[in-house]
Amino acid sequence: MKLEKIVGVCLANALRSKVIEVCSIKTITDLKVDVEVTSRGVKADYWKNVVAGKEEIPEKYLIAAIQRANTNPMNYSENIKNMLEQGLEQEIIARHILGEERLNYKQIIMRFCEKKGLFLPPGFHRQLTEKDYEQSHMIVASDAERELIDLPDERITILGIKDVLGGTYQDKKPVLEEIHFKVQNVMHSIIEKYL
Amino acid sequence: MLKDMYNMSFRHEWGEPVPLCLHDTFTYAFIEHENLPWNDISNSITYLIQPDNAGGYIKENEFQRRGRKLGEFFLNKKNIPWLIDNYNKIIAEVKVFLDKIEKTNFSKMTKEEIYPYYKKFIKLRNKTTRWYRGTRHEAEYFIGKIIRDKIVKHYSNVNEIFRIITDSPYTDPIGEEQEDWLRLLEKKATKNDFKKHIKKYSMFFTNIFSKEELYRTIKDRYKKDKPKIAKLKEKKEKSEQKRIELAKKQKEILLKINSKDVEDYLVLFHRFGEYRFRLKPGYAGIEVLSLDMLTRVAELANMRLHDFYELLTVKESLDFFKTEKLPTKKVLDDRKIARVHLIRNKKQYTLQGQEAIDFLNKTVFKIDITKSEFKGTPACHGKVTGKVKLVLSNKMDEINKALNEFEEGQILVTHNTQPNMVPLMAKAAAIVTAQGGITSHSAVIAREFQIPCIVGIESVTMFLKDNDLIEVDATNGTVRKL
Repeated sequence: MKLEKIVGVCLANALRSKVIEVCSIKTITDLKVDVEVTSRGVKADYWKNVVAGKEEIPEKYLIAAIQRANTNPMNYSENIKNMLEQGLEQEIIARHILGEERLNYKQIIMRFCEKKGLFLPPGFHRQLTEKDYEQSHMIVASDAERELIDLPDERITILGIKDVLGGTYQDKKPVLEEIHFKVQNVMHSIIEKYL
Repeated sequence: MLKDMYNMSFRHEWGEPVPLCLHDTFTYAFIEHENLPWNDISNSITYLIQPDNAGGYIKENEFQRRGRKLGEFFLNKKNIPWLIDNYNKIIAEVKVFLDKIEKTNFSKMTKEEIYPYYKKFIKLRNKTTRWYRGTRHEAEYFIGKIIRDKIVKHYSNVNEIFRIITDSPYTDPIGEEQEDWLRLLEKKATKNDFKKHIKKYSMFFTNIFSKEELYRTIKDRYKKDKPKIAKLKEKKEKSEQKRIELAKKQKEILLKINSKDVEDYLVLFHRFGEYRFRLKPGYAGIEVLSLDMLTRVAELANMRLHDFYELLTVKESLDFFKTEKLPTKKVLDDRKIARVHLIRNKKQYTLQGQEAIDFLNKTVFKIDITKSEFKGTPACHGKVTGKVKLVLSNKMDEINKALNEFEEGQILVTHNTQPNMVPLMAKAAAIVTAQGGITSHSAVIAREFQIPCIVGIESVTMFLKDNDLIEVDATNGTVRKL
């Protein structure tokens, strides 16, 4: 197969896969290989709908979102704090929490890219589609996403980065560094496989 | 086998006359303990002799062992964020559950349909109780010791300084409730406003088993407080001012002590007081917001909700869904007189009627009632002499009755105050409780109202009776019968 595309994949294409994308672009450029790099979420549309209120938030995520905001209220806006104090319906608050976290992720990635001198292409929360399977190699965040992708093992690299929601730049820094390190490590063997 | 317990010595731990299902829930935490150090208890006794002689006891050596374990646990600072995170998870779980049942119509549900909801209700109540105990005052004792050791190097009046810095400068849920209540008083409150208030502060309305009674209670309070709005506002403003002054004083003291350890432990102290209130609705108040569901469950069991809640153990209520069986009328009638719910080697037993009273006489009632001086933890300083007013029930109508009977200068003596006792506490010349530490409800409110208060005098409610003349020295933590 002629490799035309490297796709970074996580669940929602909010943080991990986007970081895989930016790190891959840098490594590919350094290696002077002409391959397109992009990122997708296996369940990006679903999570987009959850945050938009078109889908119900699974109870586990609903509880976890409220828990995060109560444990670290300083990580969230005054708006969330007011909502928590006023005792609004928990699902409404949780949607706002998830929405804010997504916005924070964008800023976290931007900051990371600035510090590392990485190029940040536009586009978040893009759904993985059939087209992404064509002529591509996927760098997948963790085993959980791997199970949802129908592609032979040789066309997939699993980084082993688990999904941890919420948090500030400082909280996320170890994860970002881990992705950066792992992508640099795996890229050589991926390219060699197809050339 | 229970005869073994006659030779054991027990330590009084709590004494609220609560429904059997709650005594069951409290002690079930020792069985389904999740390896939490405060639940490491194998033998305990809880009882209620109607109308309000109630108690909770723990085997003496286990009580002491638990204290040591708790000390070790809390002195390890790494455990605290983990604990707080878990508290927040439970608080969120309870809120999500309550949102769900608010939207559900239970009126025509079958037993099979309602079972998952009831099971979840029980699960959450158990879980909250299991974790709530982590805010216990033994922990305060160990942490308090470290703080006192640091204070003594800089100040001679250790108790006074300790009291100032351990008092929380932040608005607690009691203060929040008062603020919300004032907002309602300032406008023409509707039923929807009352509903929202009850939902947010359900723990202030415990032991109410019908919606009619619930709204009657809140409307009565509204009518009573409406003319006093200016006075209540003034009180609130004063307490806000006090908080600002307190924060300032604390800053000065901490600057002088200059210890990161003390600062860290104080955050813990302040947050614990707060979490105690935030967790509480998960077991005391959750039933108020689940009235529709509980009413339907009791209807299916062909029992009055009050009896269903008051007289059945958790297991019996859950078994009903599987076997249709309930305890016999004789057993339930006996429980209306007296009951004991106990844990023996991590197994639960329930005794009722004369059998329960005989058991208590041979175990926990072996107390020397001639004692006349008692020592506890000072929670708000001051010295007062006055007559005892015992309030042993936390039921709303009993509290209202006590409120009407309460005379100027009387001293409130109780097991442990509840949020619905706040108006009563405001009238007292001093407050003495059998349970609690310096971040307990009694302590926080006493400091808010600046009323001398001593907490944690073991079994004090068994030694004192109405109109006994006592001297409360809340600076040294002693109560003396005169």
